[in-house]
Order: sequence, then C-alpha cells, then structure tokens
Amino acid sequence: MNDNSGGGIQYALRVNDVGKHYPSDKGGSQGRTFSLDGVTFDLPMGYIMGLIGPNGAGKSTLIRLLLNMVKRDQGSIKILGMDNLLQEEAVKTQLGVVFDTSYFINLWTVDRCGKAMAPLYPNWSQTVFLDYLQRFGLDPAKKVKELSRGMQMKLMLAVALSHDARLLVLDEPTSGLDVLARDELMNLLADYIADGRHSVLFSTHITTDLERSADFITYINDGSLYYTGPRDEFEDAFVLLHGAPGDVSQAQRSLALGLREFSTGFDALVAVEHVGAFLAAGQDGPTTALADPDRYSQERPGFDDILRLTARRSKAPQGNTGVVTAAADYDTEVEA
Amino acid sequence: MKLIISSISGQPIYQQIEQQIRDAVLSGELVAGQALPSLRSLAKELRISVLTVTRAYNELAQEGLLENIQGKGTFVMSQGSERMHEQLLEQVRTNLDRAVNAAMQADVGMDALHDMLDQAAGANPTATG
Amino acid sequence: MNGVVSQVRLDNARMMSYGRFRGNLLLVYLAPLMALVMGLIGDKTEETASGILGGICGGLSPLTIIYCVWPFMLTEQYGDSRIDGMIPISRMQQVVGRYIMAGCTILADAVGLALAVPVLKMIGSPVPPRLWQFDGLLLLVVSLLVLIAMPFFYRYSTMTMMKGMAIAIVGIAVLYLLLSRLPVDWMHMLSTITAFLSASAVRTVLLAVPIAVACVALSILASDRMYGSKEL
Repeated sequence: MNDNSGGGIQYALRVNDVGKHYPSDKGGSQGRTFSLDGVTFDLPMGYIMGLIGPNGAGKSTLIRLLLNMVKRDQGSIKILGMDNLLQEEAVKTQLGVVFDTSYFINLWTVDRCGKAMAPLYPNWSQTVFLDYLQRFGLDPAKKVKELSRGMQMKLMLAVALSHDARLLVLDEPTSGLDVLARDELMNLLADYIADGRHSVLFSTHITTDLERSADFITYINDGSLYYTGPRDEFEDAFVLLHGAPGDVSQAQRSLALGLREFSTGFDALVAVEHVGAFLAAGQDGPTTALADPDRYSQERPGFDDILRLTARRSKAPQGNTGVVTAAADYDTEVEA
Repeated sequence: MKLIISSISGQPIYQQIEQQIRDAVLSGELVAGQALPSLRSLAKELRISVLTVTRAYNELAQEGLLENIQGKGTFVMSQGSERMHEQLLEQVRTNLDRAVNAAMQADVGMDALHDMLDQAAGANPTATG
Repeated sequence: MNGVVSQVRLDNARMMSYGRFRGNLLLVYLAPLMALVMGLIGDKTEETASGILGGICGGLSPLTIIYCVWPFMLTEQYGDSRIDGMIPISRMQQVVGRYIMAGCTILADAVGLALAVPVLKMIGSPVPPRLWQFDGLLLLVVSLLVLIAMPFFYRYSTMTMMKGMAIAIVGIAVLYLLLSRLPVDWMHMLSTITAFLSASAVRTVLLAVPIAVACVALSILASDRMYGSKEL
C-alpha cells in the first residue's frame, strides 16, 4: 500500500542548517548568550512531528524562524515546497498557527475573530469555522479575554483549521490544558493527518502527548540538534539502567549519556550499542559485574526518562552524530 | 479485528501490534486474503502514530504473514506460503518439545504420550488423518 | 495589492467600534460641529472666530495624530504582536496599509477643518484672514509629525515612544530658544518661502507634490527598515 498520497508535495517542511545567534548583551530570555546552531530536519507530508526539548532550548525560536518572525542568520527553510522568505505570503496562507497564548485582540468576540481572519485567507470556509466553534463549545458572542486559556487555544485552532492549511504549527499548545483537553487535541491532530495531505509540527515539553501519536521527533537541546527522525527509533536507541546507590565507576560515567544519582540508587541512560560495555565496566572490574545479573536492572526508557537524563547537555551522544536518520531515508512507504 | 494496545506494558507498541496480528493470523481469526485496515485508519483508531503501524505491517510482511499490494492495501498471505508454513511448523515443534519435557517430568512414557496425541486429534474437529 | 487591502481591513477590525472609518468620520464632523456650537454661543467677532478655530485645531490635531498610530497602541495593549507574524501579509504591505489608513485620517482632518468655514459663514461669524494658509500649515505639521513618528512606532513600544517624545519636545524647545537668539528673522524667511510656494497654484503643485511624495516614501522605507529588524 502506497502512502504517498501527499498531493504532490513530499515534504511539508525542510529545514536546512538553520541558525540564529543572539549577541551576548541581548541574549535570549535569561540575558545569556543564546544561539541556535545549524539545525537540520525534514518533515514528510502526512505525519506528525514533535519538537521537544527543555525550556529555553530553542524550540520557540525555531518556530519563530519558520514564520520569519525572527530573521535567521543562516540556512534555508522550505515549507510546503516553497521558500519561507521568497514566498512568505503564499506559505502563510497555507499555514495554520497556534501559540501558547492568544494572539487576537482580546476585546474581540469569537465571532469577530473569524470575521477578522477570514479575508486574509483565500480558502477560508465560514461553515467549517462555525462547525469548529460548535464542536469546541465556543460561544460566538464571548470576548477573547473572557475565555479560559484552553478555549483561547481552541479558538486559534478553529481559525487555523478553517482555511485548509496544509501544515499546522503548534507552539506549546497544551501547556496549561488539562488531560481531557490534551487528549481531545491529539485526537483532532490524528484526524487532521488522516488523509495524508496534511502535516503537523508540534512543539511541547509535555512529552506524554507525543508518546503515542508522534511519527517523528526532533529534539533540540541547548540550542543544537540532538536527534531527528522516527519516534520509535528514538525510543529504541536508549536503555535505562538502574543500580545501587554510588555503584557507578568512572568508565561507566563516561559511557552514560545521562546520569542521576539518588540516595536510593542511580538512573543511567546509555545508548543501546554501549550497554554491554557499560555492564562490563562496573566498579569492581568486569568479572564481578557479569557474575551478578541483578546488579543492574534495564528497561526501555519513555520519553520523559530520555529527556530528563539528557537535557541541558550540549553535545550529541557519543558515537552518534545526533542525527540518527534523516527522515528522507526513512521508509514511510509500506514495502510492496 | 480486536487490537488492544497498552502504553504501560513496557513492550513497544509496534511489537504489540505485530504480536496480536500474528496471533490472529495463526489462530485463523484473520483468514487468508483478508484485507487489513489501511495504515492511517488503524493508526487513527488505535490513536497511535502512523509510522508505528507502518513498521508493524512492514515487519509482518517481511515475515511473510502479510502482503502489501501497491494501491490496494495490506492482505493476509494465503496460508500456502512457505514462511507461514515454517512458522506453524516451528510452533508444532516447540509445543511438542514442551509436551515431551512435561511428560518426562510427569513420568509419562512415550507410548502414553502418543495416545494422548491421538486423543487430542480426535477431540479436534479440524484435524485431518 | 491584496495584502495592503487585507491589512487595512485587519487594522479596521483591530479598532473595532471606536475605530473603522466611523472614527475617521468623527474627525470630519467634529470640526464643523464645534464651530457651530461655539460660534452660536460666543459673539460674532473675528477674535472669537480665531479662538474657536484655535480650539478646534488644538483639539483635532492631537486626535488625528493619535488616531494614525492607534493600531500600534491597540495591539500593544489588547492584543499580541505575534499576529503580525503569522498573517499572510508581507511586512512591507503591512506598512503601506497603515500609511494609507493614516492618509485617510489626515484627509478626514482636512475635510473637517474645511467644513468649519462654511459653518461659520452660515451662522454669521466672520472668517479669520489667511485661514486656508493656517489650516494648510497645520495639516503640514500634523503630517510631518505622523511621518516622523510612524517608523519609531514600528520598532518601539508606546511607553518608549512617550519617553522619546517627551525628550524630543524638550529638545525642540531648547532648539527654539537657541534659534531665536540667532540674528535671523525666521518669520520673514518663513513667509518668503510660503509666498514663493503659493505664488501660483501650478507652482505649488509642481514643487510641493514631489516633495510630499518623497517625504512619504522616505517615511515608508524607514518604517519598513525599522519593522524589518523587529522581532515579533
């Protein structure tokens, strides 16, 4: 079965070596130097990509670079096959954007938001918009400032979905939402990509939202790319090891991509290919470690585990360039 | 087709799908030539990523259980395929090994074991001669 | 072109019920209305008429200027500048759209001032001499202030602008004091220039129009430049 139903466009998003550097006196949100170094990733049409990373890592900067809200210093960005600078307007008519907080004039009523946005998009459908309002339970007469944060997000979503946008970009849409609302959103996104002609880029630090539904993951850590590629492979690439408190040798420390020590034990994140070496490099020498199978316990880490153990490191995992597979190489077609 | 995915079972989701489809095919619940749901519809129903389903289907296709036909969909391979046959034979062998081991432990002799095999075949309406 | 129209419509929507073209109309009928009311109340002398018109101009001019930069202030106070980053309108077109709105506003101001004259005549009040020149000069000053202020509004917040304007006013006052010390008869120079420019209608048009266009273009380019470097 050929999944190549993207309507002619193979990639919803191609980001190539994009970078942004802030001089030290201006420096980001904390007054320190911040830079986004040469980030490269692709999102094929018809899939959901999660953009993850700790706060301040550069996810929002990356999204603002996509929208040209911030000028990039290097690299190229192609959205839906078009250059994001040269064909900015054409690109934006096909983009749906949702931010963490409302961008509307908060004195507007829900109805007026629709009326204000409609003339900007040639493919606007008022029927679709009203349909979403009803579906989300948005009262057309209510002012934006009277809406809860979750409802404001739904309003942005309703607008984003009402002009046949081919790429939906969401910047931390679920922060501040409860579990039900997040669940609804993930269902909506699954429906959105169902026909293979729409894609989603979803930046979040709530990783549970992505654990089931994300097809691809791009992990930005401290301004640089840590991983990009299929989500399954990301989870498959690491092993989470636990052991007795303090039972970590120097060699093991250098093999671990992330290590947290507690009074009750330690958590170590190790790349799959290095697990053997890790197990053999125990404090008392190799023989003791192998003879005691219960010394370390292993499990497949969830997203949260991977993130909490690797966040803030600015280098990619050892022995791994950090870019595991470019999505271009990944087999998105089912083999015939 | 019933498919239950657990996010906390610790087993990767694509493996869970593979296993359940494999079980369904081997048990006859999914018959030869039957069409499986499309990638996207299954992903949507299970609320998991499309790539996960793709991977499961691909791996099952490599095993010979499923067949992907361009433009038409994914179908269960007809039971006459070699690989399916091998898998089933493998199952027979494994189960027989287990039966033999259990018989040893229970002090059941090989003749008694043969009798038990005949009884089981007799009780199974689909068993042939 | 589509983008410019879209921008105008969006700004209209931003200004909601206080704004839109209704707001511009306010400028149109406010002046004659004030003239009518004040004229009927006061006595019909030239001094009173001058006072009335002074009051009208004093009231309308700041209103016009603020109205031109109203979308900036609204977005800052009630909205979010991120909307300007996600809409499918290029930054240049956003700039041009706002300038067109500003132009309409100043036009409304001009029409309003013009309408005050027949109203005064109608109620029997004398019309102060050289009124047109005075109105013309005033509109010129208002336009210049708007043209100078707009690029800054694209980059800086209203608070910063207020501080900037306060400093500018002090600076201008100081400049005025210094210039008035110089042994140059500024009034004479000014009236010579004005006389030269308005000697004939043709000359005014031939000289003033290109200069005006150049000023507007310069302002637009400056705005685009300032806006371009702004991060949304």
